[in-house]
Amino acid sequence: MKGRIGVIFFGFLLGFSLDRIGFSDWGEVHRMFLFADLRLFLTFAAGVSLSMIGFFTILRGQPMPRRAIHRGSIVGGLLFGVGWALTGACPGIMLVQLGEGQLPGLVTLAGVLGGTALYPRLHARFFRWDPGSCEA
Amino acid sequence: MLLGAFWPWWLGGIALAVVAVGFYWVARRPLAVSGAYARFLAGPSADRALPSDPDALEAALLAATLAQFPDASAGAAAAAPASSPALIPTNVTWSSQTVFLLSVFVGAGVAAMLSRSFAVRADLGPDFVRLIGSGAHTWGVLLFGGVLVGFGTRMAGGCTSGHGLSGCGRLQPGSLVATASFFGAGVATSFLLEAIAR
Repeated sequence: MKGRIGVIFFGFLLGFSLDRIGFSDWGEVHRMFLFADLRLFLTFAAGVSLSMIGFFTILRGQPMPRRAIHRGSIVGGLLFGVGWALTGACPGIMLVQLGEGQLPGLVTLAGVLGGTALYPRLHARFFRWDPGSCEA
Repeated sequence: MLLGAFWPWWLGGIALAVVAVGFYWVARRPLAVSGAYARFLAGPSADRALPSDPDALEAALLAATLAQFPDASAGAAAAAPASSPALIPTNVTWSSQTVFLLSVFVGAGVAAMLSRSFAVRADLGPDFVRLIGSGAHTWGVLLFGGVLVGFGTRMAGGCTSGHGLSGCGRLQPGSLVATASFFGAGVATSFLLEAIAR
């Protein structure tokens, strides 16, 4: 139960922060990719750097999943990047857009759920590597 | 500053890091939104594969592997049991992941309300209208882009949170490569959009 409340708290904080950062704003994301405004890039870089400090101090020695390079790392990443630039949304963002009243996020969400459901079917049929999991 | 204009980069960076590290602290698993979608789609029935009973877990993994590789023999499937739980992770309960996704939605809604920026609108802002347009065809673009996001994140095994924050934050090679790939493709696509519109 304590874990559940923690998940709710940090999920809430994630949605709250992404709105206040402006990661759910199509124009802000577009200007980040054009290097026209470096604020979001710097935000992400700061987030990674500070996470690194946290992971290597607070969570030092805890078992964490290894993320090896596999054949889907680059191709999957490239496909995701194209979709991100078109929709302005990485996977959490359409939920943030909807919370803010940006209704097109619903169409993007439908696409994401479709793509997420589609991949395992094609993977079983054509690709046979282990893509790893965010949840392992 | 908290509820006015967009946060400065350092404040946003602190917030993202607090979420990435804090989430692992409480949930004992890396923050991962795309993985949460996969788990959401797998449905509550997959909860029975939770590792409470090692024998039941092994049987469930074998069954799931065979379901995904129908033409594989039992021996071949047993040799690669990691494939199935990786694609549709079942070691986290469905309700936990669903509640997590709802919390993101609610958190954004509260932030938008408090900062008085909440507004129901049918477009994604002036830049989107300038480059993609407005009207029914934009739904097609968003649906197509959404499929790429869902498909690509599953193929790469993570997204901005799982690979970007949790993976790069631990210098994992697969995460660094995936993150460079999706940022690179985003940059290329955005420049292409500008070139087409010009």
